[in-house]
Amino acid sequence: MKNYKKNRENRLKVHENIKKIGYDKVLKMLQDKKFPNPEKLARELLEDPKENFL
Amino acid sequence: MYEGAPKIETEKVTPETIIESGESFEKFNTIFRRIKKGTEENNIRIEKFNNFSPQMKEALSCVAKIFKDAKVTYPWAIHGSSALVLEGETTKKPKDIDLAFGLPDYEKVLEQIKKLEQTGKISDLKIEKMCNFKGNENGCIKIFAKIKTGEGEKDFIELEAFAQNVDPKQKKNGVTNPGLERTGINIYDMQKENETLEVNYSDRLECEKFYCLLAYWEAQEYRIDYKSIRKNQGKDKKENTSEIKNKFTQRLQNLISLIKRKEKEEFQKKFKNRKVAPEDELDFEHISDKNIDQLIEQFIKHNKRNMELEAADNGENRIDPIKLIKNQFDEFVNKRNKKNFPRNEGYINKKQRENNHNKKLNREEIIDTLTEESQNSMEKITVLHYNLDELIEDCEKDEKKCEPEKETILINEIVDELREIETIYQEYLNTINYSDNRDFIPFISINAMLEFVKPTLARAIELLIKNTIK
Repeated sequence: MKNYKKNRENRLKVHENIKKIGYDKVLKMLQDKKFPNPEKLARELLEDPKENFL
Repeated sequence: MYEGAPKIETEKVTPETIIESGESFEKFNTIFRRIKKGTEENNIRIEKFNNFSPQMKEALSCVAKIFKDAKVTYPWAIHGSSALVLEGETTKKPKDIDLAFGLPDYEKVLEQIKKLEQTGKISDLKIEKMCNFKGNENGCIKIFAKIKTGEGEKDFIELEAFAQNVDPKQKKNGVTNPGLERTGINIYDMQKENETLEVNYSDRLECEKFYCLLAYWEAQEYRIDYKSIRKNQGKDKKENTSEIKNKFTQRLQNLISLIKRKEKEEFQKKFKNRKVAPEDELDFEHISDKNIDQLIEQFIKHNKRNMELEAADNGENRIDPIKLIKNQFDEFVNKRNKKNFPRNEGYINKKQRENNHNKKLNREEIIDTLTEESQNSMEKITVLHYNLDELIEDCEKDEKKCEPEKETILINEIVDELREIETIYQEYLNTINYSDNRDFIPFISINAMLEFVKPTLARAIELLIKNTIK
């Protein structure tokens, strides 16, 4: 059985943690790690997860 | 009887009176239509059927003979890709046989299959009790077998036959339940060694229903399944990914194929007496906005029951595939309508160019390629996520097991892997041509992958930053 509730809770928990770290630190890490378009990705990681994919 | 199979009191199921009308008749809530040459639609169906490979025909005749000799009471029908070839606008070739039949006929069918196993015509026979999407046994039994179609080692066609409930007092337990639900079956006659055999296929409406229902649940694959990762802890890591079947967008493409075939037939009927060939007037490769709307309408129509079930069962915790398709199409159209938006090469064109030195891929092959690629990426990410969880758990259980340096090395490896996947799918997204609806299905698939990366990436980044601070 797919544990939808737990999946959602875990995803939200991970999201809360990354939000606490803050944009600047996440951006720096993504830049250091040479991710493509790090600003956009950092914003997306901190934004609320897309509802239809959550 | 197979151990655990539910006993169905067959005498309580009353067959409806057989109403024969020309080439069609009704029995057990099922409308049977014999496909004979005459109408344009049937001529095409027969031509497609006749163009099946000799191996597929051999396997089909074997299946038809099994059901004939078993003297089954309830309807049986082939569904899946093989039926799609007959009912859709597709260039695919059927590779395997998937079918559904009545559970009360299970023993009779199995007996015939076992007879053929003894002659060597059938091998690798496996019986499996099926579960519903919640993981509970649902009474359905799957028979898997390989049908020998030649003398070589690879000369076989795989068969998956599902014995499903036909008792109206019990719940539907399959994606399609011929004999229980209102079903349409097309019968194709086949001659084999002076014997006439009947091959039963799901009709177009049934195919449509089949793909809508499957896709509804398969949309859930676009989210890391924490429970299946945990469940398989300690086992081979590859097993953690065994439940990932990323076929959602492939199903949507199949539904588009059914819509296009219907559109083509209607067009041909309308212009039957005109001298200009209809194909010259309408580009059937083109997918209109109306086609996408039809896809969404079909999806809602066939999933009403699922939506009700979901509403009664904490549905808010699942991905809503209808919202997903609608929102993604809105996003697709918004980008198309933005002024000065770059008109990209198009994902389809890019893939075709990449493969030009081999062969030009058609749009279905491109979706298949993307499905395969993203399936591999999803499996990779799931294993990485598992590794990450395992590491954290070990450390939480026993501080002595915490090895920050080792952790950092592993997390860095994970981040590198995720960056590679992110880069590839960002590149794919940049090739999308928003003025071409053929790119809509790849668009969903690419976006879904980019979303799939995020939770694992966020977790890894979080740990990496914490470790750096330590």
